[in-house]
Amino acid sequence: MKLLTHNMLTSHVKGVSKGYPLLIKATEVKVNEVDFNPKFVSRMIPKLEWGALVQAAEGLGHRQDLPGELVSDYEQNEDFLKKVHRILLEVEVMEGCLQCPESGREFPISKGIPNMLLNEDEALSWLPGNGPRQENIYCYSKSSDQAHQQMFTCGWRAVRAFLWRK
Amino acid sequence: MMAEPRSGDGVVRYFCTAGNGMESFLMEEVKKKLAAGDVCQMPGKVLFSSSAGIDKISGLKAAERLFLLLKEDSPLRVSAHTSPAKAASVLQSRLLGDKNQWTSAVMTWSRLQGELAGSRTTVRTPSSDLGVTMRIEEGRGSRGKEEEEGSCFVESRKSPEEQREEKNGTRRLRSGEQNGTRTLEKKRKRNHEEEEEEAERKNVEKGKSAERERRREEEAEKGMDVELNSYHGTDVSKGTTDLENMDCSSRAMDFAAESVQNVNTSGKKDETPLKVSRSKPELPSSILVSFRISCKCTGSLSRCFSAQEVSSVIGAGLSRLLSWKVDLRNPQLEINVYLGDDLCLLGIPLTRLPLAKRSYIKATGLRSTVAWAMSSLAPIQPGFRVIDPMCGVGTILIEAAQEHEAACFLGLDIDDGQLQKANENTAFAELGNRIHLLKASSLALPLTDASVDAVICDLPFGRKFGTKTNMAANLPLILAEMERVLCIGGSLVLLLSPQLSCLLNKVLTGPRSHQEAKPPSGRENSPSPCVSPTKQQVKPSPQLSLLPPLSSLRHKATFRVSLGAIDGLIHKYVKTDC
Repeated sequence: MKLLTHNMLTSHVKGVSKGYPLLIKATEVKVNEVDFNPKFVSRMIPKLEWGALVQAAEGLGHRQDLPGELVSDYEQNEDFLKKVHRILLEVEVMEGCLQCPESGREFPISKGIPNMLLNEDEALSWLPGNGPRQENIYCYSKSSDQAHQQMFTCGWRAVRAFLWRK
Repeated sequence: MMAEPRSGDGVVRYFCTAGNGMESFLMEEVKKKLAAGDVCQMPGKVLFSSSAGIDKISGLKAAERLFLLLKEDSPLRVSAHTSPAKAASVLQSRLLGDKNQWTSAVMTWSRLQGELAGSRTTVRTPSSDLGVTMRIEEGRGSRGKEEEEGSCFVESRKSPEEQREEKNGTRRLRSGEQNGTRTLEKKRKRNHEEEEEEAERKNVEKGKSAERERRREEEAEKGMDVELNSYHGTDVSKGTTDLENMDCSSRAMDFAAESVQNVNTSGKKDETPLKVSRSKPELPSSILVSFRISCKCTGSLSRCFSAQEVSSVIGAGLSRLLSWKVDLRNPQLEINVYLGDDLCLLGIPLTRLPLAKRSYIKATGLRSTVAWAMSSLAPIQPGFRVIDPMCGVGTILIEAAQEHEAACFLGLDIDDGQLQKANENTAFAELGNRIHLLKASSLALPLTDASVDAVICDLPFGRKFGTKTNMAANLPLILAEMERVLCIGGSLVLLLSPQLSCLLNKVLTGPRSHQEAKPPSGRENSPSPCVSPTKQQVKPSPQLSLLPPLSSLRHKATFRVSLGAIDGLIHKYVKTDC
């Protein structure tokens, strides 16, 4: 797992409202050289959660001297882009686990591939009314008759998941 | 009208075959990547002219196979009552044309082969063309060429007996068996690819002309050998030189099976001379060429002719016109003939393996051309984050990553076996740095909201994994997850079975509120398989929607593509901010 991926990862364990950023507990970290593409890095930076990236790099001991706040004119700063390139793409966690900051649930990383699969009883926690989708969910507690009719066209699992929350 | 294979400014006319539904993608691609002109599309084929380098042309992603166009013509009209002899002469007069055009086409072909070999020197591809063309390049030296033309001239004045035999040989052309021999050949070639290359290198080093002479002799002998082998039991046709005698030639074809078997066994026996003969450097003179014809007839014409008949008639005509030699097993040239109700098309394949067979993909999942088409629908830009929530062996991501260097890709799958293969595939394609993998369920993507720029996914059809029922039931949830992780303006490209496509339309159009009830743009133009636009108004429920976020997905286009046994539908949506 590269830190670029880690930056997008979140935990959706049932009951968790903010499963981000995941804590990295690495037992094996690899650094391998990757071709530097300044265009890619400079376009990627605005999409990153900068704080989470620095925190993750720090945890792995690869922060170098990256600032806690993103500098403004990074596009022209090749030195800076190279450092970001390094933590984003060259540092890779091969073995270890990721831990949900809220629930403490651990997700193993094996051969560089994190296993984010949830058990049946942990899954679908956000659906509906929990976590990031909250505001979307409450707006459709409407006439249950019509709702039923519609839901049937969408599949029984969805219906159950929906009703189960109400 | 004979296509001008090469005019002054280096423009060459080509055609590519494409899977059903892929033609429009291929058209876009040749226009965009090759600045191709005179592009024309018909079912299963795209014709175009381009002056782009052959390495670029052979890098086309949406095409199945690439051909140098020999001739495009209006369709043949032969009434069912025409006598076979008459029909054969019509075929010959219409399709053969002028001798010079054939030879210049072959020159162009061998030049392109040379360039193709040159562009591949770093990549080791199992191609016997490579061997031939390297020799050609070499033979281009002025002295070598003179010599060759001289010797070929001598050879072309063969004894009448020999020539007659060749003509008879053409009657045994039979496409079905050609396929057989071809696959056999492929296998053999693969096995001996390395040896061949080794031999090739040695040959280059050795004195050229002497070597060439010797091999030509061997080749001639071999040719005779095959000829004789295949003459076993073909007494009926032996000695008949009347080319218009269709009756006789069709009888000769009955013996073709036998002759091909002979060819096969002889091929197994003397593997070594075969290898040598394959690298003979005869082409540049383009006077003596060995060839075979592969023919496909469709429409009304196929009721008058079988593909075998057409092959044999054209083959006979060609060898008479140009003194080319028929060689079913190991020809220098393969000439593909397509006769349909829409047009007649003659071409020479430029690569032995189809373009759709990617050198960089180890384990295939989805058809590479379809995977590429899907990635082309999501306008991927530098710095984009692209995910495939059900990546399987990663074909889509690999096709996309090949095309877009400054983007990163994330593949998710729930199955360890698939992930393992995807991992091997990305490593094999040397894309491990840009394609990252994750084990997760598409029902609960472990990603933050609005974190990706494009979602491309081949939703399992349930054929291989028996998940059909689950897929249908889970579709709304899967879609909701995809929608959640997409950023505003991000693209969603899905490949679905016809059934799932219907279901998806219902899911997305059903809960629409009325200000969105008007059909999204693009719908009228694109074939929407099951749900008519009017159906959206059947249940107008303004404030009710099952999964409201889905209404932010705007339908852009639908394409129907063939996946072999079944068709699939590619849907494209863009997430809007409503």
